[in-house]
Amino acid sequence: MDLFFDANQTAFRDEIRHWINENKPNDRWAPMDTQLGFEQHRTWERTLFEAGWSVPNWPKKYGGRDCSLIEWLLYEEEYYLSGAPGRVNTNGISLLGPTLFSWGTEEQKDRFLPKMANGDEIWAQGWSEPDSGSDLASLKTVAVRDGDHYVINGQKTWCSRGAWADWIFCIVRTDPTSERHAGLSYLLVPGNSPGLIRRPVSRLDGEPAFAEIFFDDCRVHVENLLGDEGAGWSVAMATASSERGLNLRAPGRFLAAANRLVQLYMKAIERNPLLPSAIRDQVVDAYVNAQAYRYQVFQKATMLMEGGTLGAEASYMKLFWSELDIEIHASALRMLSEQGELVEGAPDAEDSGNWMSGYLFALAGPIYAGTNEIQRNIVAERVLGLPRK
Amino acid sequence: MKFSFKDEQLLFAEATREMLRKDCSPEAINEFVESDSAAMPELWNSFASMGVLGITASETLGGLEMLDQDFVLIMEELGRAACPEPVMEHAVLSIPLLEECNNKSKYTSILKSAINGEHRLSVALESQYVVGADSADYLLLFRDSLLHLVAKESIVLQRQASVDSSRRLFSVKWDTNSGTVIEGDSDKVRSLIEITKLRAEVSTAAQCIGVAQQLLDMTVQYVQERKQFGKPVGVNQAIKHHLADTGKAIEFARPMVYRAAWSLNKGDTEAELAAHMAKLLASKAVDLACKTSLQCHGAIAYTLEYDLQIWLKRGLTLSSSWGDIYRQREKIADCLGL
Repeated sequence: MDLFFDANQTAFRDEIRHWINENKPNDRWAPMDTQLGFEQHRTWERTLFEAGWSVPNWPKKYGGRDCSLIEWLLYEEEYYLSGAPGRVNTNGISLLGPTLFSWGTEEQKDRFLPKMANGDEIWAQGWSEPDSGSDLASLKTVAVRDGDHYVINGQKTWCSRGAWADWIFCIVRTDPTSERHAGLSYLLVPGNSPGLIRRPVSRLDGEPAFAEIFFDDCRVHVENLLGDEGAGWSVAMATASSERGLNLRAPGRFLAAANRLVQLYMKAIERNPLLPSAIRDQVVDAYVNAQAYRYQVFQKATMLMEGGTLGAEASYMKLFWSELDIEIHASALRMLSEQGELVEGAPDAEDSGNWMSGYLFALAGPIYAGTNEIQRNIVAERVLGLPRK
Repeated sequence: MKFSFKDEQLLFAEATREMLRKDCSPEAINEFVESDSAAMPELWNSFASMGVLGITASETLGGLEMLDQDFVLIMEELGRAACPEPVMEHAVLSIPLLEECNNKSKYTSILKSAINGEHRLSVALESQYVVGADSADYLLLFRDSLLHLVAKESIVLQRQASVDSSRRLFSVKWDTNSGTVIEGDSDKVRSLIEITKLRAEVSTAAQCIGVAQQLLDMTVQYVQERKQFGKPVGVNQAIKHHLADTGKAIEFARPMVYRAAWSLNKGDTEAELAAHMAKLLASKAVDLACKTSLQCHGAIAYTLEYDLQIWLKRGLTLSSSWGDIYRQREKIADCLGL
């Protein structure tokens, strides 16, 4: 066991810290979950890519720098500490990217990964349907083979940034007679396909960040099938594992938020020395939990680098980070008291209302990527070994 | 950054687990409690012959000279077995205190006999009850900024019955003149006490993790066997979610305990904070494990006839020992400057 970072890791961390502080935009952009902000954030993807900092953990040939998992975790820590803009292509880079590495053909990897890395093609996830949420395998959107194409009919929903995304990765039923997990396929669909209609839906925070997507005889070339026809569920599970484990939500995000929470407390106690001590306890708990997530991930990263694999325990991670995100933001809001409800634009809003917008965002955490109730079932059945029936 | 144990660290823990399974079974613990004896000599001898009693001691004295990261897994095993013998007090707290004091050359023979198990040591810092004082030959006691070594003949013990009757607690009365000052430099004493408290927090945290894991494992087993409404109670989501939450608390406390153990010997500037955080999370994990394991078992676990009670009570006592969650939060807040 050696928990110090070695000279290479430290140099790597210093390099990204220096670069990002020199290059992060100074302007405050519109939220990336608006059409304007979406395009502003796309330019940042390009800037990152050109400096080799978009996907540092990917192979060089796809625009990365082949960094190790530990270095990538340090990159994430520095990224979030810097306060740089969010990554508008997270669904591509963190979810579809790893899935392509596992399941894509060489042609598909060459075709999709570089444009994903440079922000030319921003991705959305098209999985949930109006009648298929937690029970994803009940999905009904069909894609019927017609020559070199699939013809898609059906509806997807809750597609984050799906109204403007360049591409959508979907799970569809390619065998209309099939049921449940069989007969599903993983299909990459261009956002501008004829027969694809998108309608933005305003989220809890007011941003039109969700999209409903309607497929009306939408034709997609068979070269966009990821994995074999009928193997969609297995491919989807690779994505889900990224979604729950450390790809989507590395500790850096929460460490930075916990540090900001500590700073906020110091400011608050200076203004009001009579702040209830329970608030300090919450700050302590949130800080400690962010640290716990960090060390859990370093331990898992070591295990992966030593050749291990992360299975159903990824669900522990998803439970933990989603609850941690709420805990951090809820603590800040309680500390701010009536000021906490102020949003961007209110003259007295603390930090431009970011604590409230962060809180609203965090509220989605226990729902997306498989609800936390489903995660608890997965942990109980597949990690602890309790009976399904 | 490499966050994994070496094979020899894992093997030593596994050997300890095997030994405890044999010599520290629930039957043996129950027998020990019923007999009201001061010690479990057979178990103690097994610890001695494995070298566990000398884990921290210098090799020149016959010890294993291990770092906290080397024996943190052994502490976890002590919790998993609900070991009644005060191994931490003896091997992790007392021996290093005696070895690190200025007059240590005078105590070579006591140290050697402590390492081979002939003599037993225990310790009290500030105003604690002393665990296993009635089996100890010597106690290390702190008074007026000085550290004393006091032989059992010079101490008046008063039993303080614990809810966990396999934990033998005592208050001690002693005359300052009856002890030997082993460390007279009050600054040195202060720093020795500080580091000893941190080690105690980390080793107790590791024991909490072991207790919590055992409670969870027993409950996972039970809810598969226990049937109601014609099916195992473990098929119900209410049960599954209690146990998933318990597993999560353990899963996220454990690396913090290992990290804290590593930090103690590595000049990590955050060693103190790490120890406090480890004990906070381990206490929380074991509190939750106690609550959910009792609830998921139902009435059977609310009896002395069923062995879960051994770990429930150990969890209850270790959760508060060397810093309950409220005191840990205070310490952490101090470290963070809050």
